[in-house]
Amino acid sequence: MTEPTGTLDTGAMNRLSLRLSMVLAIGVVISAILLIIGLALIAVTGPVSSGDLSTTWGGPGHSLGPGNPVAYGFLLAGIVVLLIIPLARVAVSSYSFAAGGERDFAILTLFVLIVLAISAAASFLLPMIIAP
Amino acid sequence: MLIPLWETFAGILALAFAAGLLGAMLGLGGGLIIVPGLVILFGIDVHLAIAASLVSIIANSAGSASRYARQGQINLRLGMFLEIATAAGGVAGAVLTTTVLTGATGTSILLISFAPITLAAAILLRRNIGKHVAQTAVKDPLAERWRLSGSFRDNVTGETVQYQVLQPKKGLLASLGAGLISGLIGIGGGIFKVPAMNVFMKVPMKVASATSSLMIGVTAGGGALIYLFRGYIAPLLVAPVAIGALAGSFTGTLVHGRSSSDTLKMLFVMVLIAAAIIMALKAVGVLATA
Repeated sequence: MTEPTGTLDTGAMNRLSLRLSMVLAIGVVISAILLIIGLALIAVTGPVSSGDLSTTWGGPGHSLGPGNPVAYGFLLAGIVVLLIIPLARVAVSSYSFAAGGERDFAILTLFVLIVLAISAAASFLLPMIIAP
Repeated sequence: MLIPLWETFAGILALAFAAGLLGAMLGLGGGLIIVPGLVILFGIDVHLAIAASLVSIIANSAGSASRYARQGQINLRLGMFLEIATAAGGVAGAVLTTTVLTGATGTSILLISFAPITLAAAILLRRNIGKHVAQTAVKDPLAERWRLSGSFRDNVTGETVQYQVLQPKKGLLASLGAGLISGLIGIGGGIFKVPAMNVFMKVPMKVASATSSLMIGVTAGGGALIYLFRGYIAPLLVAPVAIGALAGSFTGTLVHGRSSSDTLKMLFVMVLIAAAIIMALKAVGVLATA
C-alpha cells in the first residue's frame, strides 16, 4: 500500500476548516449587504416594471441598468462577490495545502481552480458554449 | 405594465428560501426547485432562470458550508478529492451540449437516461435507512492514501463518530456524472453526490450532505461565470433569488443539526423521486428545459 499523502494533522485541518468558514462567511456578508443596498435604492427610486426582472447585464463593456445605474451597480457587485466566493475558497485551500507541504492536495485544488478559470476564459472565446 | 413588483419579489424570495432550506439540509443546490419555479410560476426565460439558479446555488453553498465548516461537519479532503471529478464532469457536460448532444433532443435523451438513475439512487438510499456507520476493519488503499476517512460530532446523539471511507473510485464516477448533469441543466449535482457518498463510500449522511454543500458551490461556479460573461445575469431577478437562498440556507443548517440521519435520508429519498419525475417531464417537453 502506498504511504498516506500529506502532512497536515487533525489540528491543522480544523484550522483550515475555520479559515474556509471565515472566507465563505465574509463573502456572504459582503454580497448580502451589496444586494440589499441595491434593492433598497431601487425601492426608493422605483417604480420598476415587470420587464426589468428580465433585464440582463450584457457582459463586460455593457451599461449597468435601466435608468438606475448606481442601484444596478450595487446588485451586480453583490452578484460578482458571490461568484468569486468559490474561487477564493479553492484558492485558499490550495495555498493552505501547499504551505502545509501537502503537494498532492495542493495540485488537486489548483487543478480545480484552473478548470474554473478556463470556464470563465472559454465563455469569452467560445460563444458556442451557450446557445442563445 | 408599470407596477411595483414587490409581490413578485416576495414570491421569488419564498421560492428561493424553500430551495435554500431544503438544499442546505440535504447538500443540494436547489436548482431543481428554482429553475422550474421561476419559469412556470413567474414566466422567466429558462436561460435567465438557470443563470439565477446557478448564482443561488453558490449563495446556498457559501451560506451553509460556512456554518458546516465551523462545526467540523465537512470532510474537506473528501470534498476536494471528489471536486476534481465534478469539475471535469462539468467541462465534459459543456462540451457535450455544444457538440454531440446539441438541441432539445440531445438533452431529452440525457434526462431520460438520468431519471432511472435518480430512481435507483432513491431505492439504494431507502435501503440504507436504519443502517448506521459500522466500525469496520476493512480499509480502502486509495482512501487511505488520500487520508479520506474522518470523524464528526453528531449534534443529535452527542457522539463523535469515526468512519472509514470506502470505494472512492465509485464516488469519483458518481461525481463525474453529477458534474456532467450539472453542466447540462444548471443544477448543483448534489442529488448524485450525496447518495454516492452515503451508499457506496459509507460516509455518514450528515457528513455527506455537509460535504456536498461545500462542493456544489464550485460545481455551479464554473457555469455561473460563463452565464455572467455571456450576458444572462438579470440583476433584479438574481438579487431576490440569492437573498432568499442565503436566508433559506442559514435556516436549513439549523434544521440539519437537529435532524437525525434517517430523517435526512427519508427526505432525500422523496426529493430524488420528485427529481426523477421533473427530469422525465423535462425530457418529454412538459417542463421547460435548456
